[in-house]
Amino acid sequence: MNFEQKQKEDDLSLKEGTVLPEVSPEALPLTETEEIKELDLKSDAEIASFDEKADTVTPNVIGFGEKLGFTSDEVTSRMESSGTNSALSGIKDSASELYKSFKKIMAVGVLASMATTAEAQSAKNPTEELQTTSAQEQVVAGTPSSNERAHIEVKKDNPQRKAFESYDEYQKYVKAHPTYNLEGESEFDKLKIEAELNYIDADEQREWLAGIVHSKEYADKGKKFEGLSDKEIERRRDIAVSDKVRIQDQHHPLDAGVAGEYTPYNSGRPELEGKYILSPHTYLMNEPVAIHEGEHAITDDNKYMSRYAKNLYKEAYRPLSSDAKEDNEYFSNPTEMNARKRVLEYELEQKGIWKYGETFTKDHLKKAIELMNQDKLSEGTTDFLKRIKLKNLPKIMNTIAGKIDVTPENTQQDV
Amino acid sequence: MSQDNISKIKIAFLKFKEQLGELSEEQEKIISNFRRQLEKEKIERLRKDLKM
Repeated sequence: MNFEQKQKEDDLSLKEGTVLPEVSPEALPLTETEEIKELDLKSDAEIASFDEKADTVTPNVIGFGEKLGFTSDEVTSRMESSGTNSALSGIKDSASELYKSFKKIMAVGVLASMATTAEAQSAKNPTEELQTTSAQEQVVAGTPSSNERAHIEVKKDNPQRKAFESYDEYQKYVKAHPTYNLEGESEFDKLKIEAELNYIDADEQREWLAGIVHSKEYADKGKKFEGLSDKEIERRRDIAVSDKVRIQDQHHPLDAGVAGEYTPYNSGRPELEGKYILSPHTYLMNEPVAIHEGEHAITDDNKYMSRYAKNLYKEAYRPLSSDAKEDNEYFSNPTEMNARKRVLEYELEQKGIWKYGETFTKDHLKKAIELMNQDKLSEGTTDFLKRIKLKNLPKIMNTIAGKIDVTPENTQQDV
Repeated sequence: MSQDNISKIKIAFLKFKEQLGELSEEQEKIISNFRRQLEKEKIERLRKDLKM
């Protein structure tokens, strides 16, 4: 029985003089738009309440100290020297990042729905339509310009995605992997949503990476500086669009605290080779992990990186005195530097500082450092910028395309 | 707006709220540690005064 039918029956059964109970507005079913609006307002209220509480922390602590006989200045100075201020400030920043991530998820969800409705069509203005047409023509011609990089569709066909299409498919998936714990249907619903949120975020990054690899600038740079053949460029493009991403599950394990991991070929784990696994929480992080791991996939870690690129990274590496031996080995690994360089490119584009194909200058470098000092870059990018001789960065940005060559250790690669 | 998308946003909101709660707890711990530090220092001061 629908709501209207029920209401009619209730109306007919009412007798004269019946006192109707008050109906609270909260008891009425919300429309979808209202539901979203309510979540939006709730998230605003949550962060406002958090910030309000955070702002009262210092005055409260000073008040506490004064009761013990300390002066306000003494308490303030101790908060600074003990690291309390910086820890509290870090927590406030983390809260702000969480809030931004939630807003992003909401925007992605709303946009994804709009794309399937007539509303989205009517919202398009003529200029947007013109740009789409132009980009499509460029794909056909295969020569997109740097100003209008073509949108590249990436494949989304891996078995794990299919498993999340329905509970039946999921059961088939887990049966195919005997070590997997079969979850109940209610648990499946939660897993499905979480996996999809991660895929939305990862696919957005994969599309950016594929757009770079398919750009005219990428091919030009590859041919001019590294002697790539058309065949090799095509091979890279195939890797960039193929569905190598997996979200961590029992069949795709990830160590605790690791955001993502690529498994190279010939690693002795054939079921994982060529794929990269993301933590189920990457969509809540401010780290473009799919770009980092996707870049590892394109170069198969160090295997297809040119000697030229490896030497350039080796010359540019600047160890931090605070780094342990293992940190040094990890951060100085050319494939790690190369993956972080690609993320730096992504972040500079996102912030409108620089665009792939544009010559990277000292001004761009200066702006990147400013962003880093303001904590506006991801942790991975910050790790990269802190451990590189900055004077070497323009050459790296302007000449390394992320080389793949037919013979991996080809010595004829120097520019 | 599909129900599927609304469910995703709802889950994301619950996670956001949960993680904000964790940060709040962490904040409390930091404040509590700092207060203990002040109290210890106060006790030390009192001990010194007593010795004098």
